[in-house]
Amino acid sequence: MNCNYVSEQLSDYVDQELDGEARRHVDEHIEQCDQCRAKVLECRAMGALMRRSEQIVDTEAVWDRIAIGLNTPTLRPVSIESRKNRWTQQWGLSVLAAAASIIFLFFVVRNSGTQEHDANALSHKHASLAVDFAEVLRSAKSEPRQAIATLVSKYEGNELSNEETSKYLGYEPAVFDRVPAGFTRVSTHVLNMPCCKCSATICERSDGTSLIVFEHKDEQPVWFGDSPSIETQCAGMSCKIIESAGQLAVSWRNQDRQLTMIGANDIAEVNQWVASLKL
Amino acid sequence: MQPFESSNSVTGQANDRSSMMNAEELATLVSLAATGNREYQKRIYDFVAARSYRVIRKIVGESHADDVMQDFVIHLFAKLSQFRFESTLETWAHRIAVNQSLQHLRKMNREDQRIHKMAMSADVSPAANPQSQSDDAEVLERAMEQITGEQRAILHMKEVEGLGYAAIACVLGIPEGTVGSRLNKARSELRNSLIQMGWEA
Repeated sequence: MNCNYVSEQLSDYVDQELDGEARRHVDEHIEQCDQCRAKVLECRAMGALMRRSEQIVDTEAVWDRIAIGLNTPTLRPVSIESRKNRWTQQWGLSVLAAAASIIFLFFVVRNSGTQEHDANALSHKHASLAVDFAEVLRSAKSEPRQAIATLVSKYEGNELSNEETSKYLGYEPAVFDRVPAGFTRVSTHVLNMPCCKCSATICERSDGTSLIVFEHKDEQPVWFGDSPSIETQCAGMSCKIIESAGQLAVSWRNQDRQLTMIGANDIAEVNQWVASLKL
Repeated sequence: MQPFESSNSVTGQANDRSSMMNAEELATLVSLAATGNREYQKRIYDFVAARSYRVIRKIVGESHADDVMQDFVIHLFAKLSQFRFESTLETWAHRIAVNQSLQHLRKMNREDQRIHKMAMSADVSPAANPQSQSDDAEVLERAMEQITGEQRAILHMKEVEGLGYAAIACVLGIPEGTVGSRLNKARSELRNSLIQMGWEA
Protein backbone atom coordinates (compact mmCIF):
# COMPACT_ATOMS: atom_id res chain seq x y z
CA MET A 1 0.00 0.00 0.00
CA ASN A 2 1.45 3.34 -0.99
CA CYS A 3 0.28 6.92 -1.37
CA ASN A 4 -0.33 6.57 -5.11
CA TYR A 5 -2.65 3.67 -4.59
CA VAL A 6 -4.53 5.53 -1.87
CA SER A 7 -4.75 8.53 -4.12
CA GLU A 8 -6.34 6.43 -6.84
CA GLN A 9 -8.79 4.93 -4.39
CA LEU A 10 -9.49 8.16 -2.57
CA SER A 11 -13.04 8.69 -3.79
CA ASP A 12 -13.97 5.04 -3.43
CA TYR A 13 -12.67 5.20 0.13
CA VAL A 14 -14.34 8.47 1.10
CA ASP A 15 -17.59 7.39 -0.52
CA GLN A 16 -17.51 4.03 1.22
CA GLU A 17 -17.47 2.14 -2.03
CA LEU A 18 -14.42 0.05 -1.19
CA ASP A 19 -14.93 -3.50 -0.08
CA GLY A 20 -13.89 -4.60 3.39
CA GLU A 21 -10.32 -5.70 2.77
CA ALA A 22 -9.33 -2.81 0.54
CA ARG A 23 -10.91 -0.43 2.99
CA ARG A 24 -8.92 -1.85 5.87
CA HIS A 25 -5.70 -1.38 3.90
CA VAL A 26 -6.47 2.24 3.25
CA ASP A 27 -7.49 2.72 6.87
CA GLU A 28 -4.14 1.40 7.97
CA HIS A 29 -2.25 3.58 5.51
CA ILE A 30 -3.93 6.87 6.34
CA GLU A 31 -3.46 6.24 10.02
CA GLN A 32 0.26 6.47 9.43
CA CYS A 33 0.38 8.90 6.51
CA ASP A 34 -0.35 12.54 7.33
CA GLN A 35 -0.50 13.53 3.67
CA CYS A 36 -3.12 10.97 2.69
CA ARG A 37 -5.08 11.62 5.86
CA ALA A 38 -5.16 15.30 4.97
CA LYS A 39 -6.49 14.47 1.49
CA VAL A 40 -9.28 12.40 2.98
CA LEU A 41 -10.19 15.21 5.35
CA GLU A 42 -10.14 17.73 2.51
CA CYS A 43 -12.48 15.57 0.48
CA ARG A 44 -14.91 15.35 3.35
CA ALA A 45 -14.64 19.05 4.01
CA MET A 46 -15.44 19.82 0.37
CA GLY A 47 -18.47 17.57 0.56
CA ALA A 48 -19.64 19.28 3.73
CA LEU A 49 -19.12 22.65 2.10
CA MET A 50 -21.21 21.63 -0.89
CA ARG A 51 -24.03 20.44 1.31
CA ARG A 52 -23.92 23.56 3.47
CA SER A 53 -23.97 25.79 0.43
CA GLU A 54 -26.95 24.19 -1.21
CA GLN A 55 -29.69 26.74 -1.60
CA ILE A 56 -33.38 26.37 -1.21
CA VAL A 57 -35.35 25.30 -4.24
CA ASP A 58 -38.78 26.76 -4.76
CA THR A 59 -40.10 24.44 -7.40
CA GLU A 60 -43.63 25.81 -7.16
CA ALA A 61 -42.53 29.14 -8.59
CA VAL A 62 -40.73 27.33 -11.38
CA TRP A 63 -43.83 25.27 -12.09
CA ASP A 64 -45.92 28.38 -12.54
CA ARG A 65 -43.67 29.38 -15.38
CA ILE A 66 -43.45 25.93 -16.87
CA ALA A 67 -47.22 25.56 -16.83
CA ILE A 68 -47.49 28.73 -18.86
CA GLY A 69 -44.96 27.35 -21.31
CA LEU A 70 -46.92 24.12 -21.56
CA ASN A 71 -50.04 26.07 -22.30
CA THR A 72 -48.33 28.09 -24.97
CA PRO A 73 -48.33 26.40 -28.35
CA THR A 74 -45.28 26.38 -30.57
CA LEU A 75 -43.15 28.17 -28.04
CA ARG A 76 -41.82 24.91 -26.74
CA PRO A 77 -38.74 24.54 -28.91
CA VAL A 78 -37.59 27.97 -27.99
CA SER A 79 -34.72 27.99 -25.60
CA ILE A 80 -34.76 31.08 -23.52
CA GLU A 81 -31.83 32.12 -21.50
CA SER A 82 -31.12 33.50 -18.13
CA ARG A 83 -34.52 34.30 -16.78
CA LYS A 84 -34.25 34.83 -13.08
CA ASN A 85 -37.59 36.38 -12.41
CA ARG A 86 -40.44 33.97 -12.19
CA TRP A 87 -43.28 34.96 -14.36
CA THR A 88 -46.64 33.83 -13.23
CA GLN A 89 -48.76 35.43 -15.85
CA GLN A 90 -49.96 34.37 -19.26
CA TRP A 91 -47.45 34.90 -22.02
CA GLY A 92 -48.64 36.27 -25.25
CA LEU A 93 -46.50 38.68 -27.17
CA SER A 94 -43.60 36.55 -28.18
CA VAL A 95 -40.46 37.81 -29.72
CA LEU A 96 -38.49 34.99 -31.18
CA ALA A 97 -35.17 35.60 -32.71
CA ALA A 98 -34.10 32.70 -34.84
CA ALA A 99 -30.44 31.96 -35.15
CA ALA A 100 -30.13 33.13 -38.70
CA SER A 101 -32.60 35.94 -38.74
CA ILE A 102 -34.55 37.80 -36.16
CA ILE A 103 -38.14 36.74 -36.22
CA PHE A 104 -40.70 38.03 -33.82
CA LEU A 105 -43.78 35.93 -33.43
CA PHE A 106 -46.88 37.45 -32.03
CA PHE A 107 -49.09 34.82 -30.57
CA VAL A 108 -52.57 34.81 -29.32
CA VAL A 109 -52.34 32.73 -26.21
CA ARG A 110 -55.47 33.47 -24.40
CA ASN A 111 -55.49 30.07 -22.88
CA SER A 112 -58.84 29.02 -21.65
CA GLY A 113 -57.33 27.31 -18.66
CA THR A 114 -58.53 23.91 -19.75
CA GLN A 115 -55.91 21.44 -18.77
CA GLU A 116 -56.87 18.51 -20.89
CA HIS A 117 -55.42 19.59 -24.17
CA ASP A 118 -52.13 18.47 -25.51
CA ALA A 119 -49.80 20.82 -27.30
CA ASN A 120 -51.11 19.91 -30.73
CA ALA A 121 -54.67 20.55 -29.79
CA LEU A 122 -53.65 23.84 -28.30
CA SER A 123 -51.76 24.86 -31.36
CA HIS A 124 -54.92 24.54 -33.37
CA LYS A 125 -56.90 26.53 -30.91
CA HIS A 126 -54.70 29.56 -30.93
CA ALA A 127 -54.09 31.70 -33.90
CA SER A 128 -50.54 32.63 -34.48
CA LEU A 129 -48.97 34.96 -36.90
CA ALA A 130 -45.36 35.28 -37.70
CA VAL A 131 -43.82 38.46 -38.91
CA ASP A 132 -40.27 38.68 -40.03
CA PHE A 133 -38.82 41.46 -37.98
CA ALA A 134 -35.39 41.18 -39.50
CA GLU A 135 -36.23 44.18 -41.58
CA VAL A 136 -37.52 46.05 -38.56
CA LEU A 137 -34.31 45.48 -36.69
CA ARG A 138 -32.21 46.36 -39.67
CA SER A 139 -34.01 49.55 -40.41
CA ALA A 140 -34.95 50.72 -36.90
CA LYS A 141 -31.84 52.83 -36.59
CA SER A 142 -31.61 54.48 -39.97
CA GLU A 143 -35.07 54.12 -41.51
CA PRO A 144 -37.50 53.75 -38.63
CA ARG A 145 -40.50 54.87 -40.64
CA GLN A 146 -39.89 52.05 -43.06
CA ALA A 147 -39.70 49.67 -40.13
CA ILE A 148 -43.03 50.90 -38.85
CA ALA A 149 -44.50 50.76 -42.35
CA THR A 150 -43.59 47.07 -42.47
CA LEU A 151 -45.62 46.49 -39.36
CA VAL A 152 -48.49 48.64 -40.45
CA SER A 153 -48.67 46.65 -43.68
CA LYS A 154 -49.10 43.48 -41.66
CA TYR A 155 -51.52 44.79 -39.10
CA GLU A 156 -54.04 47.49 -38.76
CA GLY A 157 -52.06 50.51 -37.72
CA ASN A 158 -52.11 54.26 -37.78
CA GLU A 159 -50.04 57.18 -36.74
CA LEU A 160 -51.93 59.01 -34.01
CA SER A 161 -51.49 62.06 -31.85
CA ASN A 162 -50.67 61.66 -28.16
CA GLU A 163 -54.24 62.17 -27.17
CA GLU A 164 -55.58 59.79 -29.79
CA THR A 165 -53.03 57.16 -28.86
CA SER A 166 -53.91 57.33 -25.17
CA LYS A 167 -57.59 57.13 -25.99
CA TYR A 168 -57.09 54.18 -28.31
CA LEU A 169 -54.93 52.26 -25.87
CA GLY A 170 -56.80 53.26 -22.74
CA TYR A 171 -53.62 54.48 -21.06
CA GLU A 172 -50.83 56.88 -21.75
CA PRO A 173 -47.67 55.13 -22.95
CA ALA A 174 -44.74 55.55 -20.58
CA VAL A 175 -42.63 56.81 -23.43
CA PHE A 176 -44.74 59.94 -23.87
CA ASP A 177 -43.25 61.97 -21.07
CA ARG A 178 -40.19 59.94 -20.18
CA VAL A 179 -37.94 60.16 -23.22
CA PRO A 180 -34.38 60.41 -21.87
CA ALA A 181 -32.05 63.31 -22.56
CA GLY A 182 -30.48 63.23 -25.98
CA PHE A 183 -33.58 61.81 -27.68
CA THR A 184 -36.60 63.37 -29.29
CA ARG A 185 -39.89 61.62 -29.78
CA VAL A 186 -40.77 61.73 -33.45
CA SER A 187 -44.01 59.80 -33.90
CA THR A 188 -46.25 57.18 -32.40
CA HIS A 189 -48.21 54.53 -34.25
CA VAL A 190 -50.72 52.18 -32.76
CA LEU A 191 -50.79 48.60 -33.99
CA ASN A 192 -53.60 46.17 -33.56
CA MET A 193 -51.53 43.07 -32.98
CA PRO A 194 -53.15 39.64 -32.55
CA CYS A 195 -52.15 39.69 -28.92
CA CYS A 196 -52.94 43.20 -28.02
CA LYS A 197 -53.02 46.82 -28.89
CA CYS A 198 -49.51 48.09 -29.03
CA SER A 199 -47.88 51.47 -29.43
CA ALA A 200 -44.73 51.92 -31.49
CA THR A 201 -42.87 55.13 -30.89
CA ILE A 202 -39.94 56.36 -32.94
CA CYS A 203 -37.36 58.34 -30.98
CA GLU A 204 -34.48 60.11 -32.62
CA ARG A 205 -30.96 60.71 -31.34
CA SER A 206 -29.19 63.99 -31.84
CA ASP A 207 -27.17 62.38 -34.65
CA GLY A 208 -30.38 61.63 -36.56
CA THR A 209 -30.45 57.89 -35.93
CA SER A 210 -33.44 56.32 -34.25
CA LEU A 211 -34.79 53.56 -32.12
CA ILE A 212 -38.32 52.26 -31.68
CA VAL A 213 -40.09 51.63 -28.40
CA PHE A 214 -43.01 49.20 -28.38
CA GLU A 215 -45.36 49.20 -25.44
CA HIS A 216 -48.42 47.22 -24.57
CA LYS A 217 -50.37 46.73 -21.42
CA ASP A 218 -51.44 43.13 -21.55
CA GLU A 219 -49.87 41.08 -18.84
CA GLN A 220 -47.76 39.22 -21.31
CA PRO A 221 -44.00 39.22 -21.18
CA VAL A 222 -41.81 38.84 -24.21
CA TRP A 223 -39.62 35.95 -25.13
CA PHE A 224 -36.54 35.98 -27.18
CA GLY A 225 -35.63 32.78 -28.88
CA ASP A 226 -32.54 30.91 -29.88
CA SER A 227 -30.45 33.90 -30.70
CA PRO A 228 -27.75 34.59 -28.11
CA SER A 229 -29.35 36.60 -25.40
CA ILE A 230 -28.78 37.67 -21.88
CA GLU A 231 -31.06 38.51 -19.07
CA THR A 232 -29.64 41.04 -16.76
CA GLN A 233 -30.48 43.89 -14.48
CA CYS A 234 -30.68 47.23 -16.23
CA ALA A 235 -31.43 50.16 -13.98
CA GLY A 236 -32.72 47.71 -11.42
CA MET A 237 -35.12 45.96 -13.78
CA SER A 238 -34.85 42.53 -15.26
CA CYS A 239 -34.23 42.89 -18.99
CA LYS A 240 -33.74 40.40 -21.77
CA ILE A 241 -31.41 41.56 -24.46
CA ILE A 242 -30.46 40.20 -27.85
CA GLU A 243 -27.92 41.59 -30.24
CA SER A 244 -27.89 41.51 -33.99
CA ALA A 245 -25.71 43.36 -36.45
CA GLY A 246 -24.39 45.64 -33.74
CA GLN A 247 -27.82 46.67 -32.51
CA LEU A 248 -29.71 45.65 -29.45
CA ALA A 249 -33.30 44.67 -28.88
CA VAL A 250 -34.36 44.66 -25.26
CA SER A 251 -37.56 43.77 -23.50
CA TRP A 252 -38.57 44.38 -19.93
CA ARG A 253 -41.59 44.57 -17.71
CA ASN A 254 -42.47 47.93 -16.30
CA GLN A 255 -45.26 47.54 -13.76
CA ASP A 256 -48.29 46.61 -15.86
CA ARG A 257 -46.58 47.35 -19.17
CA GLN A 258 -44.35 45.30 -21.38
CA LEU A 259 -41.79 47.39 -23.20
CA THR A 260 -39.61 46.34 -26.09
CA MET A 261 -37.00 48.64 -27.54
CA ILE A 262 -35.37 47.94 -30.88
CA GLY A 263 -32.28 49.64 -32.20
CA ALA A 264 -30.31 50.56 -29.07
CA ASN A 265 -26.64 51.19 -29.68
CA ASP A 266 -25.23 49.69 -26.52
CA ILE A 267 -25.94 48.58 -22.99
CA ALA A 268 -25.39 52.07 -21.61
CA GLU A 269 -28.19 53.31 -23.83
CA VAL A 270 -30.42 50.46 -22.72
CA ASN A 271 -29.76 51.39 -19.09
CA GLN A 272 -30.54 55.00 -19.82
CA TRP A 273 -33.89 54.12 -21.39
CA VAL A 274 -34.97 51.58 -18.82
CA ALA A 275 -34.22 54.05 -16.04
CA SER A 276 -36.00 56.84 -17.83
CA LEU A 277 -39.16 54.86 -18.64
CA LYS A 278 -39.66 53.58 -15.13
CA LEU A 279 -43.26 54.06 -14.10
CA MET B 1 -56.38 6.43 -6.21
CA GLN B 2 -54.72 8.10 -3.29
CA PRO B 3 -53.62 11.66 -3.69
CA PHE B 4 -49.97 11.95 -4.45
CA GLU B 5 -47.87 13.80 -2.04
CA SER B 6 -46.53 17.06 -3.28
CA SER B 7 -43.00 18.14 -2.63
CA ASN B 8 -40.93 21.16 -3.16
CA SER B 9 -38.56 20.47 -0.39
CA VAL B 10 -35.02 21.25 -0.45
CA THR B 11 -32.32 19.71 1.43
CA GLY B 12 -32.94 16.04 1.67
CA GLN B 13 -30.97 13.22 0.21
CA ALA B 14 -32.19 11.54 -2.90
CA ASN B 15 -35.34 9.67 -2.04
CA ASP B 16 -37.32 8.13 -4.82
CA ARG B 17 -40.79 8.75 -3.58
CA SER B 18 -42.38 7.27 -6.66
CA SER B 19 -41.05 3.91 -5.53
CA MET B 20 -43.36 4.22 -2.54
CA MET B 21 -46.31 3.90 -4.91
CA ASN B 22 -47.43 0.57 -6.16
CA ALA B 23 -46.60 -0.22 -9.76
CA GLU B 24 -50.18 0.10 -10.92
CA GLU B 25 -50.61 3.54 -9.41
CA LEU B 26 -47.37 4.75 -10.88
CA ALA B 27 -48.21 3.36 -14.31
CA THR B 28 -51.59 5.08 -14.20
CA LEU B 29 -50.03 8.32 -13.13
CA VAL B 30 -47.42 8.18 -15.87
CA SER B 31 -49.87 7.28 -18.59
CA LEU B 32 -52.29 10.05 -17.62
CA ALA B 33 -49.49 12.56 -17.46
CA ALA B 34 -48.24 11.36 -20.83
CA THR B 35 -51.58 12.29 -22.37
CA GLY B 36 -50.95 15.88 -21.39
CA ASN B 37 -53.21 15.98 -18.37
CA ARG B 38 -51.90 18.93 -16.47
CA GLU B 39 -52.97 17.72 -13.06
CA TYR B 40 -51.03 14.48 -13.42
CA GLN B 41 -48.10 16.21 -15.04
CA LYS B 42 -47.94 18.34 -11.93
CA ARG B 43 -47.80 15.25 -9.78
CA ILE B 44 -44.95 13.86 -11.82
CA TYR B 45 -43.29 17.25 -11.51
CA ASP B 46 -43.65 17.14 -7.74
CA PHE B 47 -41.83 13.84 -7.67
CA VAL B 48 -38.86 14.96 -9.68
CA ALA B 49 -38.67 18.73 -9.48
CA ALA B 50 -36.58 19.53 -6.42
CA ARG B 51 -33.90 17.00 -7.17
CA SER B 52 -33.77 17.78 -10.86
CA TYR B 53 -33.69 21.51 -10.27
CA ARG B 54 -30.78 21.21 -7.89
CA VAL B 55 -28.65 19.27 -10.32
CA ILE B 56 -29.59 21.55 -13.20
CA ARG B 57 -28.69 24.61 -11.16
CA LYS B 58 -25.41 23.06 -10.16
CA ILE B 59 -24.47 22.29 -13.75
CA VAL B 60 -25.66 25.37 -15.63
CA GLY B 61 -25.60 27.94 -12.82
CA GLU B 62 -28.28 29.98 -11.13
CA SER B 63 -28.91 32.34 -14.00
CA HIS B 64 -29.73 29.61 -16.51
CA ALA B 65 -31.40 27.16 -14.17
CA ASP B 66 -34.99 28.24 -14.73
CA ASP B 67 -34.71 28.09 -18.49
CA VAL B 68 -33.05 24.70 -18.53
CA MET B 69 -35.56 23.45 -15.97
CA GLN B 70 -38.36 24.51 -18.23
CA ASP B 71 -36.82 22.79 -21.23
CA PHE B 72 -36.19 19.73 -19.11
CA VAL B 73 -39.77 19.46 -17.87
CA ILE B 74 -41.24 19.91 -21.30
CA HIS B 75 -38.84 17.31 -22.65
CA LEU B 76 -39.67 15.00 -19.77
CA PHE B 77 -43.38 15.18 -20.43
CA ALA B 78 -42.84 14.63 -24.12
CA LYS B 79 -40.89 11.47 -23.32
CA LEU B 80 -43.10 10.12 -20.56
CA SER B 81 -44.70 7.57 -22.84
CA GLN B 82 -41.22 6.11 -23.34
CA PHE B 83 -40.65 5.51 -19.64
CA ARG B 84 -40.24 1.77 -19.28
CA PHE B 85 -40.11 1.48 -15.48
CA GLU B 86 -36.64 -0.04 -15.72
CA SER B 87 -35.36 2.44 -13.18
CA THR B 88 -37.21 4.65 -10.76
CA LEU B 89 -39.02 7.60 -12.24
CA GLU B 90 -36.69 9.94 -10.38
CA THR B 91 -33.54 8.33 -11.74
CA TRP B 92 -34.92 8.37 -15.26
CA ALA B 93 -35.85 12.03 -14.90
CA HIS B 94 -32.52 12.80 -13.34
CA ARG B 95 -30.74 11.42 -16.35
CA ILE B 96 -32.79 13.62 -18.64
CA ALA B 97 -32.10 16.65 -16.43
CA VAL B 98 -28.36 16.06 -16.49
CA ASN B 99 -28.33 15.50 -20.24
CA GLN B 100 -30.42 18.59 -20.83
CA SER B 101 -28.06 20.65 -18.69
CA LEU B 102 -24.93 19.37 -20.37
CA GLN B 103 -26.49 19.94 -23.76
CA HIS B 104 -27.27 23.50 -22.72
CA LEU B 105 -23.65 24.04 -21.70
CA ARG B 106 -22.40 22.70 -25.00
CA LYS B 107 -24.75 24.99 -26.83
CA MET B 108 -23.62 27.94 -24.78
CA ASN B 109 -20.03 27.14 -25.51
CA ARG B 110 -20.72 27.13 -29.19
CA GLU B 111 -22.53 30.42 -29.16
CA ASP B 112 -20.94 33.71 -29.76
CA GLN B 113 -19.88 35.11 -26.40
CA ARG B 114 -19.74 38.62 -27.70
CA ILE B 115 -22.95 39.76 -26.12
CA HIS B 116 -21.89 38.48 -22.75
CA LYS B 117 -18.61 40.30 -23.02
CA MET B 118 -20.44 43.39 -24.06
CA ALA B 119 -22.64 43.21 -21.00
CA MET B 120 -19.62 42.70 -18.78
CA SER B 121 -17.75 45.58 -20.30
CA ALA B 122 -20.71 47.85 -19.79
CA ASP B 123 -20.60 47.04 -16.12
CA VAL B 124 -24.12 45.72 -16.05
CA SER B 125 -24.84 44.29 -12.68
CA PRO B 126 -25.83 40.66 -12.73
CA ALA B 127 -29.27 39.74 -11.54
CA ALA B 128 -29.28 39.89 -7.80
CA ASN B 129 -28.91 36.68 -5.92
CA PRO B 130 -31.93 36.51 -3.69
CA GLN B 131 -29.97 34.91 -0.93
CA SER B 132 -26.96 36.29 0.75
CA GLN B 133 -24.28 33.67 0.78
CA SER B 134 -21.48 33.08 3.14
CA ASP B 135 -17.91 33.64 2.00
CA ASP B 136 -17.34 29.92 1.75
CA ALA B 137 -20.40 29.46 -0.40
CA GLU B 138 -19.27 32.22 -2.72
CA VAL B 139 -15.83 30.71 -3.00
CA LEU B 140 -17.38 27.34 -3.73
CA GLU B 141 -19.59 28.83 -6.42
CA ARG B 142 -16.63 30.40 -8.14
CA ALA B 143 -14.53 27.28 -7.81
CA MET B 144 -17.37 25.27 -9.29
CA GLU B 145 -17.31 27.52 -12.31
CA GLN B 146 -13.73 26.42 -12.95
CA ILE B 147 -14.58 22.76 -13.40
CA THR B 148 -16.61 21.14 -16.14
CA GLY B 149 -20.37 20.64 -16.16
CA GLU B 150 -19.89 16.88 -15.99
CA GLN B 151 -17.69 17.31 -12.94
CA ARG B 152 -20.21 19.58 -11.24
CA ALA B 153 -22.91 17.02 -11.96
CA ILE B 154 -21.04 14.07 -10.55
CA LEU B 155 -19.92 15.95 -7.44
CA HIS B 156 -23.43 17.19 -6.82
CA MET B 157 -24.93 13.74 -7.17
CA LYS B 158 -22.41 12.30 -4.76
CA GLU B 159 -22.03 15.00 -2.17
CA VAL B 160 -25.41 16.68 -2.11
CA GLU B 161 -27.76 13.95 -3.20
CA GLY B 162 -25.80 11.15 -1.64
CA LEU B 163 -26.21 8.83 -4.61
CA GLY B 164 -24.17 5.64 -4.74
CA TYR B 165 -21.83 4.87 -7.60
CA ALA B 166 -24.33 2.54 -9.26
CA ALA B 167 -27.00 5.24 -9.30
CA ILE B 168 -24.56 7.86 -10.57
CA ALA B 169 -23.43 5.51 -13.33
CA CYS B 170 -27.06 4.95 -14.27
CA VAL B 171 -27.81 8.67 -14.46
CA LEU B 172 -24.68 9.52 -16.41
CA GLY B 173 -24.82 6.41 -18.59
CA ILE B 174 -21.25 5.43 -17.77
CA PRO B 175 -19.72 2.21 -16.41
CA GLU B 176 -19.93 2.02 -12.64
CA GLY B 177 -16.23 1.24 -12.49
CA THR B 178 -15.35 4.66 -13.84
CA VAL B 179 -17.37 6.69 -11.33
CA GLY B 180 -14.64 6.64 -8.68
CA SER B 181 -11.93 7.85 -11.02
CA ARG B 182 -14.17 10.60 -12.37
CA LEU B 183 -14.96 11.70 -8.86
CA ASN B 184 -11.25 11.68 -8.06
CA LYS B 185 -10.54 13.99 -10.94
CA ALA B 186 -13.49 16.25 -10.16
CA ARG B 187 -12.53 16.51 -6.50
CA SER B 188 -8.92 17.16 -7.33
CA GLU B 189 -9.79 19.99 -9.71
CA LEU B 190 -12.33 21.47 -7.35
CA ARG B 191 -9.82 21.30 -4.53
CA ASN B 192 -7.20 23.09 -6.62
CA SER B 193 -9.66 25.82 -7.52
CA LEU B 194 -10.77 26.22 -3.93
CA ILE B 195 -7.22 26.44 -2.67
CA GLN B 196 -6.34 29.01 -5.32
CA MET B 197 -9.18 31.08 -3.95
CA GLY B 198 -7.87 30.84 -0.44
CA TRP B 199 -10.12 28.10 0.90
CA GLU B 200 -8.86 26.03 3.77
CA ALA B 201 -10.39 22.76 4.81
